[in-house]
Amino acid sequence: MPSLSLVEVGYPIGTLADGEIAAAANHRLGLLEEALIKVKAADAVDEPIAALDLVNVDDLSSATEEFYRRGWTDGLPIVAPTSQAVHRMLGDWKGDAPIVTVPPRWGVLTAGKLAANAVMAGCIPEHFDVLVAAFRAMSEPRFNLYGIQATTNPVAPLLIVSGPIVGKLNLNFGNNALGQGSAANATIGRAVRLALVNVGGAIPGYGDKATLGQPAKYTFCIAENEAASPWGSFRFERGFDASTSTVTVHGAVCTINCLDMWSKSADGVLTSLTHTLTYVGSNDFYFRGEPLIILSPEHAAILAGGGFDVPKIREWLFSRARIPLADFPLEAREYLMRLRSEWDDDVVPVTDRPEDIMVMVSGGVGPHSMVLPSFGDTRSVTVPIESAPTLAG
Amino acid sequence: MLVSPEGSAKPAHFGAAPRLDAINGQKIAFFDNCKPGANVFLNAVAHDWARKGAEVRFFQKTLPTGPAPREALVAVGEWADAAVFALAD
Repeated sequence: MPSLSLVEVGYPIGTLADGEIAAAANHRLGLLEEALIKVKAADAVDEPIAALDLVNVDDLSSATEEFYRRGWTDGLPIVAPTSQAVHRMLGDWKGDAPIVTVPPRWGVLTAGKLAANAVMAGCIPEHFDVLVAAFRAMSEPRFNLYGIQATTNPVAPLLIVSGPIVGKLNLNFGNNALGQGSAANATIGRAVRLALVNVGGAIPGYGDKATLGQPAKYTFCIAENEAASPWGSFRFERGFDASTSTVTVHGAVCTINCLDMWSKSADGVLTSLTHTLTYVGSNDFYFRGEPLIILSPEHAAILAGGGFDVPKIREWLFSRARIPLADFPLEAREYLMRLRSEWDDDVVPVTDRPEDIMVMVSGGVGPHSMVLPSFGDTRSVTVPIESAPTLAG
Repeated sequence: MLVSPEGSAKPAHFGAAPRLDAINGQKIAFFDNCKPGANVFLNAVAHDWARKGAEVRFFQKTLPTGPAPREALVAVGEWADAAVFALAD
């Protein structure tokens, strides 16, 4: 926004003494006043939505280098987005069809822009409807993409694909479901990241202020192992039937492994999960989030054998995943006390409600489940995967 | 020729708001995002502007990581001539 007037205040603020913060403010009072009353804002102007604007590149072999120089890659080599490849990716979509606007730059994501990023990531046209659905899901206000994109936190949107499309696209829901080796998982997740950067402006150090980030910012896409879930797909409780494929987006701060190769009882597995979920420093405790539990098929079977369904798992975890207020740092306690009306006593629960703990099944054989703490002020969103004619009509 | 992946088009409603002519006599809202120290910084600015004749009022987000509550934004929009938000850490 060229007309925006800025007054810079050096980092940090939060860790300074109150007197130092006040001094920093007092030092800039004149500039702040000037920004408010003297710098006149230019009229905002609508920029035209370009269908497919072109970039002149000497030869295709230099595409990676040229796009890297322009800040359009994730640092890895790309597939050159030729007009032919982008049109093939678009299929029945029109290039100038707007899909959503993407913060923090609030760039307009058209089908053509998404297709260009998809080609760069190595996607095939069959992946495109998944990408469209992912961005529609992320644009729901309750997902809080603005915060997720711009924060100092390492959070990244995790895509969870569920339903018949998982098999059609050969998405990995078995061993190493969150790891390397599957073209569909890798390229779909990468295309989302590239568009978040190139359209949303999540450029490291600028639109994306992550202190450290995380490897999931390269690609982050998993499929549900529906067949291994004793309780059916998690999308069923979100109102979708078995024939409908969905994409769910979850604002995941990190992945924390939960090893339990000893427990033969549900109580044992749940004890391990509780302690994996419960730590000072988790955004969920501070910002009342929606952590995700990915149960391995083995752990899911133990829980089901012990008579647990998903609501009972949630209740068990909610009642035990708690930290005494006294275990938090002193200054953090002062912040948490403001939220205290939600709790019965001086013990902070991981979420506000049992229903805010998300549970699904994925992965292959092995005694490892996973906890993905959330960004906090975010809620996962599930949308159906639809084709271009469906959305148009 | 390759297709640019960059989404440069921006909707017009994200333009900056008109500026005030003066501080004196204006209603200015200060919006605390609850991050550590934000209230101290805003207090210092508000104190100065109140001394210069502004009417100041404080608003607060419930959580620092998400958007401000809609009711609070509506209240600021209805009451204030200008609003100052605290951002960052």
